[in-house]
Order: sequence, then C-alpha cells, then structure tokens
Amino acid sequence: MAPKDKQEVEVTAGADKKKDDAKNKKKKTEEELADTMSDEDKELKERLDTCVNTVMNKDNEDKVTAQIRLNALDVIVTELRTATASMTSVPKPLKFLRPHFASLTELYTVVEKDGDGIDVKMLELRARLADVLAVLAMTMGKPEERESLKFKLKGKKDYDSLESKGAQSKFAEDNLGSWGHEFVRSLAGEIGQEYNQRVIDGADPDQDEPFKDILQMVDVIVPFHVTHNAEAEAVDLLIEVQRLKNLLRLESIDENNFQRICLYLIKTADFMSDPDDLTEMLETAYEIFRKQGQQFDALRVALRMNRTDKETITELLAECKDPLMRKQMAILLGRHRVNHEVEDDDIEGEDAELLNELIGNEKLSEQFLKLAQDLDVMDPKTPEDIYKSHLAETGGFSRRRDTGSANIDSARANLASTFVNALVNTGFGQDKLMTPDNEWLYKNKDHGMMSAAASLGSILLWNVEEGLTQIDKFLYSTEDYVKAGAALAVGILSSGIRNDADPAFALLSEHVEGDVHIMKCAACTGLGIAYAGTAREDVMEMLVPIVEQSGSSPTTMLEVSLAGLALGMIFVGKCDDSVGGTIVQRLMEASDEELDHSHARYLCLGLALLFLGQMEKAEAMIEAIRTIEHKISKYAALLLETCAYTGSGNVLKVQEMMHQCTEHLTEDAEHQMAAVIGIGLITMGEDVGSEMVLRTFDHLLHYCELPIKRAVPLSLAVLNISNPDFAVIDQLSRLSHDPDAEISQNAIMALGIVSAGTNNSRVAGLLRQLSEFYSKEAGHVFCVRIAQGLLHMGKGLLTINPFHSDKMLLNGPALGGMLVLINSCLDLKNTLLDKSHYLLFYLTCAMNPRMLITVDEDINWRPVTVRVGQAVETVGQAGKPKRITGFQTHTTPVLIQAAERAELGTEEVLSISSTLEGIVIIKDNPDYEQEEGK
Amino acid sequence: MTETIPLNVKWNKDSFKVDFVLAGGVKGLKNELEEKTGVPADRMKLMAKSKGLWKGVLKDEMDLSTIDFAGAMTKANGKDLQVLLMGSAAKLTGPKTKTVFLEDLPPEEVAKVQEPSGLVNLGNTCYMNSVVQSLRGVPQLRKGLRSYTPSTNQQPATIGGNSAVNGPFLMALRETFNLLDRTANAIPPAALVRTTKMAFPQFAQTGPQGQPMQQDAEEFYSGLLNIAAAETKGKEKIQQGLDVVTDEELNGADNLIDAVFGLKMEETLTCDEFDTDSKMEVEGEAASAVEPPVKTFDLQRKLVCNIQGGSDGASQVNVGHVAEGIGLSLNDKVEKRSEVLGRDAVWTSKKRIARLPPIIAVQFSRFYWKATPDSQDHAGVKCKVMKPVAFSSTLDMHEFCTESVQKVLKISRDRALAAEEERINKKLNGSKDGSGEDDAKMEEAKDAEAKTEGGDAEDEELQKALAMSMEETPPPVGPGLPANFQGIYELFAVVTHKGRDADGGHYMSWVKADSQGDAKAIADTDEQNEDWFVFDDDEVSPCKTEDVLKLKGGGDWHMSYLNFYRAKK
Repeated sequence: MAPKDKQEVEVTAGADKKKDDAKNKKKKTEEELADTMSDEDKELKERLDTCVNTVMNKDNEDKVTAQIRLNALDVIVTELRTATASMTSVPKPLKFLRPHFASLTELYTVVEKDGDGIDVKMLELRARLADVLAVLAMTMGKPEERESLKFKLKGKKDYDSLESKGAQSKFAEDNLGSWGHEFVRSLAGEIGQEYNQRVIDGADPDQDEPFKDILQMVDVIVPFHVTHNAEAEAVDLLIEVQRLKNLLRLESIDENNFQRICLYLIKTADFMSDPDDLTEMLETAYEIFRKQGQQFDALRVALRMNRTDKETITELLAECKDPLMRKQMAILLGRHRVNHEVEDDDIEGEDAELLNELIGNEKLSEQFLKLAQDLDVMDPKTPEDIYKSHLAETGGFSRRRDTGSANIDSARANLASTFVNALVNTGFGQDKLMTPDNEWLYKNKDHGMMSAAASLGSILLWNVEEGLTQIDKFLYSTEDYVKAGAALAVGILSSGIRNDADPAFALLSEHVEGDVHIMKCAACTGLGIAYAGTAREDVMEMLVPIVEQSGSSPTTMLEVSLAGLALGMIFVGKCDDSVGGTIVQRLMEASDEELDHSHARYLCLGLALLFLGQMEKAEAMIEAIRTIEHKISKYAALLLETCAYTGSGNVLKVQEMMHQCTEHLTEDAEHQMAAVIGIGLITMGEDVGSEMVLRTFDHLLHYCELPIKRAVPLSLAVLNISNPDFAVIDQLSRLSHDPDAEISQNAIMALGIVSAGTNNSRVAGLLRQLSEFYSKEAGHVFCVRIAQGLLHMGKGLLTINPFHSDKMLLNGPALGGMLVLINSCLDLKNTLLDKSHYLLFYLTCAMNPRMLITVDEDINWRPVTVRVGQAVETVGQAGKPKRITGFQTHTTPVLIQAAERAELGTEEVLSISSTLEGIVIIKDNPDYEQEEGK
Repeated sequence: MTETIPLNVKWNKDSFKVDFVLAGGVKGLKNELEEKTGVPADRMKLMAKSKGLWKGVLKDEMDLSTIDFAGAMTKANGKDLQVLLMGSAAKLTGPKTKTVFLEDLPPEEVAKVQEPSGLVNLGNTCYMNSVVQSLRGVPQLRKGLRSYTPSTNQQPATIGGNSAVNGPFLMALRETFNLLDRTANAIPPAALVRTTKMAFPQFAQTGPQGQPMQQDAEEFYSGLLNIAAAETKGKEKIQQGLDVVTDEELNGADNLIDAVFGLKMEETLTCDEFDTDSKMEVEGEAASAVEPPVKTFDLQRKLVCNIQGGSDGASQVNVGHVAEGIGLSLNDKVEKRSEVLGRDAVWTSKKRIARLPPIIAVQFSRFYWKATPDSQDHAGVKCKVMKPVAFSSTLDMHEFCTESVQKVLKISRDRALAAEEERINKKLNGSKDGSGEDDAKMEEAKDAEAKTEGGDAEDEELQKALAMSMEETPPPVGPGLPANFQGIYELFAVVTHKGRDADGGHYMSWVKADSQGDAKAIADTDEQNEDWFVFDDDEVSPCKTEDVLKLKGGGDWHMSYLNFYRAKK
C-alpha cells in the first residue's frame, strides 16, 4: 500500500506540470487503487463520493434541500478535520476528495453568481463550501494563485453577511484553527503574499482599510500560533503584514511564552534590512517585557536600542516594583557604563544613593579583589613570570647574561615589561615593579617614564580613593614625563568609576588648560579613558578648545588628535552634534601637513566613535567628510561608515567594504585597511556572518596587495576579542611568521587581542616561540611582549570582549578602546612603537572582570552552584530547550569564557537577572521544596 | 564669623570628622587635616563629594562665602558633608643609580652586551667568514695583530708571498676583528675579501657565470697563518701576542704564529724491514748492523685527523674518534733508502710533539682525491668522507707527545690526580662523618693499614715526583701555556662543512661564547659554560655544547672540518 501512496503524493505534488501527462496514468492508478484499497478506505471513499454528489446536486432534485446539502458538507468537514490533525502522510479524505475538487470549485462559481440575494441556508452552504475548498486548495490549488486564501476570504464575507442577517452560523467561530496547524501555516504564508501583492498594487501599508479582511484573519491566526507553541510563526506573520505592534494587544502572551517571543524578536531584529523595522521589533520586545513586569530585560532591550536617555531609564526604574530588580538594573547600567544618575525622588521609598553606587561601579574594585582572593591569585606577577624565558630553548643563556655584572637596560625591553606588568597586575593594587619603590620608574626613558607612571593607574584600577593617595607623589615630580604619567594614571584609575568627588576632572582640568605639551596629551587621554561613554558636557567644554586650536606644528596636531579621540570616547555612540561639528570642522580646516601626521587618524577615529553602532545617523557626517581633499577623507569616511554599522551584520555594507578592496594599491591604501577592519566590525557579534567572513579573509590574503593583508589579522582579532578560537589562532599563528614585518607584527598583536585575559596555554606557547624567533627584531619583540601581557591580562580574570549580557549588548567604550589599539596597529612604527605607546591604556576602558558572582539583596556574596557550559542558540525553539551543553558544575564565584553561558544549578534560589554574568542578585525560591531524605 | 561646618573627610581608607571653621579659611582646614593625616598642607587636594559645594580642587584663596553650605546640607539629607582628601606624605625619590639605556649607547658598547655580530657573505665567502670568526676567539693572535704595522719592503718575498700584499691583508683582518667588536650588526668584510684575493690569487677564481668560486676553509686558514707568520718574526713581535716568553719555552719558534699555533714535531724513522726480518735471524750477531732510528724535527701548524675507512679500501683502522685519527696521522710508512741494507726500504715514521702551543687546530681530512681509473679521462674526483668522527669538548694531547714532554706533563697530571683523590676522599669521609664516628675511625685504621702494606712503591714514586716538582720547575713544554699544564686542551671553535660535495657546500663556524669580544686570558674557562654561538655568515644564534658535539658528521647535517682547541688550565 505504501509505495502506491507515495506515487499518489508525487502525482499530487507535481500536479501543475504533469497534469496532462498524468491524466491517463491517474485513471489507471485510481483503478488500481480501488482494487487494493482496504474495506475501510473503500467505505470512506464511497461515503465521501456520496456526500459530494449530494452537495453537488447535479440533477437539481428538489428533495435535496439546502439543509441536506449542508449536512452532507458537514460530513466532509468532519472527515477532513479529523484527518488533518496529522500531516505525516496525505490524509485519506483529501486524497479521495481530490477528483471532486474541480467540480466543487465549479459548483462554487455557480452559487457565487447568485450574490447575496440567496436565502440563509444557501448562504451558509456557500460559506461552508468555501471553507472546504480552502482546505482542498491548500494542496490542489495552484501555489501562486493563493486560492486557499481567496476561498477563505469569500467564506468570511458570507459569514459576515450571515451575521448581518441575524443568522449565527455555528461554524463561524472555529473556521481557522480547527483545520489544523498545517492549514493555518499555509494560510499565513498566503496572507503574507497577498499583503505584499496589495502593497505592490498601490495599497498604503500604513492604513488598515485596504487590508481589513486579511488583518482580521491575522488577528485570529496570531493568537492561535501563540497559544500553540508557534511563537516564531506568529511573529513572522506579523512582520510580514507589518503589524508587529499587534503583539502588544495580544491577550495570550503570558509569563510562559513572553521570553520566547522576545528572544525571537530580538534575534530576528538583526536580520531586518530596514532600520525602522529593527527599531520596531526591539520596541515591541521592550514593550512586552515592560508589560510582563520584566524591567530588567526591558532595560537590556532599551540599551540595545541605544536608548540611554535619562527619561527612559528613570521611567523604567520607577516602573519596577521589585527593589532587587532595580538593583540588578543598576548593576547592568554600571556594566554598560551608562552615566545615569538616580535622583532621590525618582523612586518612592528607594535609596537613590545605593543605586547610584551600583551604577557608578564604586564597589567594582572591592568585588574584583575579593574574587582574586577567592581564586587565590593575589600574589603579584613579574614580567619574567609571563615571559618564562627559562622555558625557551636558548632561555638559560640569555638569562645568565642578563644577570651578569654588565647589565645594560634596554629602554624598549623595559617599556615592554612596564606594560606587561601593568596588564598582568591590572586591578590588583600591587605589583613588583611600580608599587614597592620608584626604581623601576627610572628604568624607563622619557615617554617610557610617562607610561611607567601611568601604569600605576592600571595596577590600581577602579580603586579610586586609595589609588589617588599612591599616585599623588608622582604628581609632584620635577620630571614632566612623570607628572604627565601620573595625570594619565588618575584618568586610568577612574575608568568607568563614578566618584562624587570627580577627582579625574578636578585634577586633570588644570593640565588640559596648561601649556605643557606632554601634560596636555596625558590629560586629554586621561579624561578620555576616565569618562568614556559618559557624555559629560563639562568635559566636552574643556576638550573642545584643544581640538579647535590651530597651528600646524606636529605637537599641536598630536594634541588636537588626542583631544578629538578623547571626545569620541566620551561621546561614543551619542551622535553629539557639537562634538561632531567641532571635529569635522577641524578636519576640514586642517592643512595637508597636519593630515599627513600619523596621529590624524585618531581625530578621524574620534569622529567615527561618535556614531558607533548608530547606522544611518552617520550618513550626513560621511558626506561632510568626503569633501575633504586629502587621502585621509577616504579613510575617515570608511572608518565612520564601518563604526556606524558595527555589529549590525549588514551584508550590503560588507559587500561595499569588499568592493573597496578590489583596487590593487600598494600605497595610500589606508582606507582599504579601514575597510578590511570594517568587515570585521560589521559582522562582529553575529555568528553566521562572522563565520562566513573568515572565508572572505582567505580570499583577501590570496589575491590582495600588502596593505589589505596587513589589516586581515586585525580584522580577525576584532571578530574574536578575548575568544581564542582554535581556527583563528591557527590562522594568526601562520600570519605571525609572514615575511612582511607589518603583517607579522599585526598578527602577533592580534594573537594578544584574541586571547586577552584567557591565559590560553596554546597561545602562550606560540608567543614564547615567537619571542625567540624574533629575538633580533626589537619591534616584533615589543609586540610579542604586549601580546603576552594581554594574554595574561589581570591574571586571566579580565576580558576585553565588548559584548556582554548574553552577547546582546555592545559596550561602546569597550569597543572604542579596542579600536584605538586596532587603528594604532595600522601604523605601528609611528604610534605604539614610537612615542604614543601610552594610548595602549585606552584598553582599560574595555576591561571587565569575566566573573559570575552571586549576591544577596545587600550585595553580599552568596555562593550557589551554577552550571557553566558552551552556549547553545535556542532562538525559535519551542518549549524549554537546553541553553548550555557540556557543562560543569561550580560554586560561584566562577569565571566565564566568551562562548560560555551559565545557569543556576539549584532550584533553591532564583536569579533576578535573566542572564548570569557579572554580579547577579539571587533570592530564595518561594516554591522550593527540599528533596526528601535530605 | 565663627560658623563651623561639620565635614566628613575621606582619605585613603579612613575617614575623619572635622569641623570646618570658616573663619580659619581653607588653610585652617588644611592645617587641621595635616595634624590628623600627616599630609603636608601644600600637598593636599580637597574635592567635594557632596553635591552643591565647590567644583574641582578646593583652592587656598577660595572665597568661602560663595559656597552654599546650607544648600548642600539640605541636599545631603542631614548627613555630614563629604569631602575627599587626596595627598600623601610620601615623596618621590629620584633614581638611586642613573640607568644607562642600550638605545643610548654608542654601537661599540652595544656590541659588547649583545650577541657577537656576523659577517655578510660577499659571494661564496663563507670559507673566510667561518675561519675569521673562529680566529676571533684567539686572543694571542688578536693581541699580536693589534700593534702590527706592515713592515717596509726591506725583506724580499718570503714564504708567505710578498709583504706588499701581506701588510694590507693583515691590516684588513685586524680591522675586521675590530669592527666586529664595535658594531652590533653584521658587517660586510669588503676590505678583507679584496686583500685576500690579492694575497691569494687562487681565491679570486670565478665560475663560468663570473661568480666567485667556492673555496676551501683550511686552505684559507693555512694561507692566513703563513702570511701572519711571515709578518710576525722576532721575539718582540711574539711578545706582543704572548706576554712573557722565554727562549726555552719558544723552543725554536721564531714567529708569533709558530708560537701560538705551531707544534714542534719530533719524527722518528725506524726501518721496518730491519726490525722485523733481521731481528730473529741476526740476533746478537751484529748490533752495529742495526739501522739506527733517525730523528728529525719538523714544524706543523695543525694536526690532521686521518679518516680512513669509508671508501678507502686499504684502511685497517676504522676511525671513530678524533684521537684515533690524529694517532693514525702521526704514524706513517715511508719508503726511504736504508744505508745499512744499501737499498730502499720501508720505514716507519713516528711523529711526536716536542713543543705544545696554546692553540691547536685539528683538520679532519674529509676531502680527498679519489682516483677513478675507469672513468673517461682517468682523472679522478674530489670526494668528501661523510662518516662520523666523534669528538668531545676536551682533547688530551699527552699520548701524542714526546717522552720528555710527557714526563713534564705527568708532574702536574699526577698532582691533579692526587688533588682529585683527596677531594673525593674528603667528600666520602665528610659524608660518613654523620653516620657514626666509629665508622670513620675504622676507615682511618684501614687506610693506615693499606698505606703501610700495599701502596708503598707507587707512593714513593709519587712522592719523588712531587718532591722533584717542588724543588725545581720542570722544563717548559711550550710558550704561553698555563701553569701546571696537564696537556689537556678544550674545544673552543669548530668550522663545519655542510654538503655532500667537496667542491661546494656551506661553511659555518661554532664558537664558544666566553671567547668573544675583548677576550681575557685564555683557558679562563668556566666548567659550567655550555654556551656557544653559531655564525652562519650574518646570522648569529646561540646554541649549547651538546649541539656542537653533534657536529661529528655521518649525515647531511653540518660536520666538523676544522676544530680549534686551546690549552686548558
């Protein structure tokens, strides 16, 4: 029986084309079928045939009244309904009704001609017939004609007129869902097509009137989907008919399914080509969360939409009924570096001070140090602990020579050690070089001394009040470099921390206004680091004059660029008009010599950062930049464009960037490098896109000129920040041995970025080999050292991945800090390998503990068991799918890697936050019942 | 105005409660804080934590009446006004020692602390580069060259060619050595190459495409020594290289090169036929008929390590170690007229060293001419022996010396042996001390017994020798050797050849690390020193003794061709 069935299916499926050839064959098969049919089937077929005949009433017998015909139709309906529940094989009734489809359609066209002027019974018959035909058309109609929908709409009209005539049909209510999921799904598809057709035909999509009929149907289908675990289909249909807002009116969204709906909305939003659609989807998710009383998640969506304005956040906080959730929201705001200030009377009965403390990250240092103590990594590490030169094959040799009497310090090697020391001991408040005495400071030269003094800020990171006391004495140094370094240290120290006394601003303002060049540079950079992402107006007022100053000496341009960069960092993603105006004005007025200056790139970067992730809002600025008659305009425009589309996964933009790379240029190709990095930026955070882009890079490495190849390792790094993916490490390791010095240096830096804060042993081994391989090349060794420092950053407790909150939010200051490093790598020998190595400290903006700690309502530690494992994508899946795989159970605090996710390992407590990252408040589960026997 | 404002001042981890007497001004507040914290008043920076006070750092001359304390207090909801104090009593001290940076140093200073620099290959000049790098580790030669001035053309052409080309060559060599010491990067030895080609026209040969031909490193080494020998004649010049020498020590060496590299060989020729044949036949018949051994003296500037075996079918000995090869080369058979027999006979030549130099070069005779009678032109081919010949980091010359030299060496050798024994004994006793005194006593008793019984004869001999050495200084065995020289030499440089072909390949030199730069007295060696440098033209990289000992050959890897040894203390 089975193979014959199959044949039948094939015939049905290919109905269109094969119709003519199949006619004869079909007859044959039908005969055969009749022979082999079981008794049951035969009976069914006969019954259906009879019913159809009755309905048709070909002979127009009077005794066959409308009621009888209706009853006959009813039998067909019942058969169909009971059968369509399952769609694994072609339902028997459908199969047996197939030969009658044409005649039934014919009948319908006949009765249709009668118009509305027929009696109630006939009307009901016609409506009912339309229902049946709609179901039959699902498989028998021509796909593009949407017959199923047409019949359904006609039927609907008849039901309506029935109603108007006062005759309620018992079928009117359940004429959609009752036909089974498959029917509803196929109908939804046709609705989408129909909708588009009508729009093409000139209907205004903003008005409901032209679509009234189908929208009514949508209103029935969507709740049906939502209540039947098919949230994704419901959302899809609404997107199709551009009525996403209807979700908000939906009664059937409840605490069981809103998470799935919102997750689907948020994840699908990335694929919307139209920015308005994207906003609408996120907006919808935002509203649903709010309606469900999930202000924490609503805040995540708000941050995803870049809505960091005071009103939104205040409203959300005020709306939130749960004080614990408010705290959790404050923690999230702190993690995202949002400079929101809670006023005393914003929320009734709430201590604004505590929330402000959380938003201002004031206790971050305390928590981090406690974590370090818990993990027993408080002992300071020396650079040698990182280099492990005794493991190198020739290591014993060089070490013996180093300890010899004729010990000559290499300023560059010492500078590298300074940075390694600063990176490794970041945030621990103690080290073995800088804090014990001042000897190491003097083992650095000029700008090196500045970086050495500034490294104190990194070591004492986040611990503002104690740190200031330690840095203080350096501010009184007679050496300008040391003083400048100390000023920078004050800025670094307060990175992301809000202190009411505002020491960075108080101490740095005098130096910004002073007239010592190096102090100005340090103060600008310090402010940029300290206030990254805060959009502080008073800081802007101080920095704008520096950007505006004229004078074409290289030192002036350096100040201008650094101030511009600082402004960009402070107003990252804020599209601030006055900052943008100032910088673009300065770029336009700049002389060619000024723009030739390697540091001019930072001014462009500052401008680009203003529009980070803001997409089309940057368009006007891009146009303005293009008017500059200097090669830098191309670079700046691409930088701006790629920054604006960062994390959007916009395929069209990626193609645009690829197009930039088609030209074979060997010099003046900075814009191509920006484009290559841009490809990474655009696709970052979106899994499918970043996977695809890896192949693209292979092509670039094969067919393009050196400048593009040089940018490829950097772009790879952007895609995998603090995420040492095996394949990427492989590729970078290959590139790190490239004969071109710049490719290899960039690849080495990229290795550092990719493995930052992971202590990855594979990368550690690779870097150790590289340090030997390049032992003669000072520049390479410096890069290797920095990479080693990054790898062991914060002894493996930190991450610089800008994505957080389950990879949903992109932290602007973090990516900004990363971009400073990446863009410096475009011209290493004039930036980091020269005198502006202190710009490396911009990375502090990106640093965050990669910890998960659970706390009680008073933010005191409360260890619980959690499961940590590889994150699994669960979007669009029904029910409660597993969100992690290959997990291990730990007790908090734990460290979480880039591709990992955590979930609570016990039913005993509930977490306030929907994502387990950073500091998570937990509370007792009121429904928890202790297991028996315990 | 006696108004006071209660302030909560936060400093470091502590906080203080201070009543701010407005009449006292900012200075008054700072003085009060100085008493509490010890922070000098002029180093205090006060920043307001509560809102509505001053902005930034509180300045001394601030007009306090402009500050709205009352407003701020209401904002603070009855809590104390918060102020942050920044400052510390600690002062930044200057550097204890001035740091000198590598980057600031002149290149010659940089060269001292860095790895030694290499020599650029100027067209198949690796034969020269490798030898020059090896000789750079011979301080005697360096010192001798330092004060060298080309002799004026008084002397006619001598052994090593004429001095018109010798002078510039040696000057160029010296300059190259100096440049290597001074620069941190590889240098192109252009002048040396030019003068080499002048001094040795055979090295100027070019191949069919005009490229310089590959040359033999040993040929260059010998040529170099010849020239240097010709130019450093006389005791005065010898003393420039070797600080104090006596004629007795020199023992016939008349120039610096012979003093430093030269071995005086005593060759004893004995007639074989007579030895073997007649001994039995004519025993006791006529002692006068015995052909007396002939002794001659000869000068050599290198030892040759014969590698028989391999493709040499006639070989009897399979040489596996450098000492075997040297021994083989010192014993030879020659055909010579015997006066007694009145005809040509086979004589055995036995060479022994009568004077030891501070530096010994050993050449591995890896290249040889193989006759190919079956080939078309019957010419034969130059071949390379690839088989391995092991060498260790030291070489004992004792067995290759004449008896008189051996006797002298024995004194210090015995002494060293005795010292070593004593050391071991002491160590053994020392370790046993802990176990029990009885044991130690037993040992002592046994020792005493043993002394009286067995070792008498030997001991006496030893005592005699020791006494002799005490009484008079033994005759010297060579110039510039360390005191108590035992005849042991240590390896300090190796020139290796890579390639299967005798006419091509690549030379590299491997030089022990401590002999670099401004070399100190020789044999000032650290037993533990395992560090070497590989000079592959301009590439210099570090390696270890074990890597050097792997250069024995037997594969496609580099294999030793010239080994340089120096006298070991």
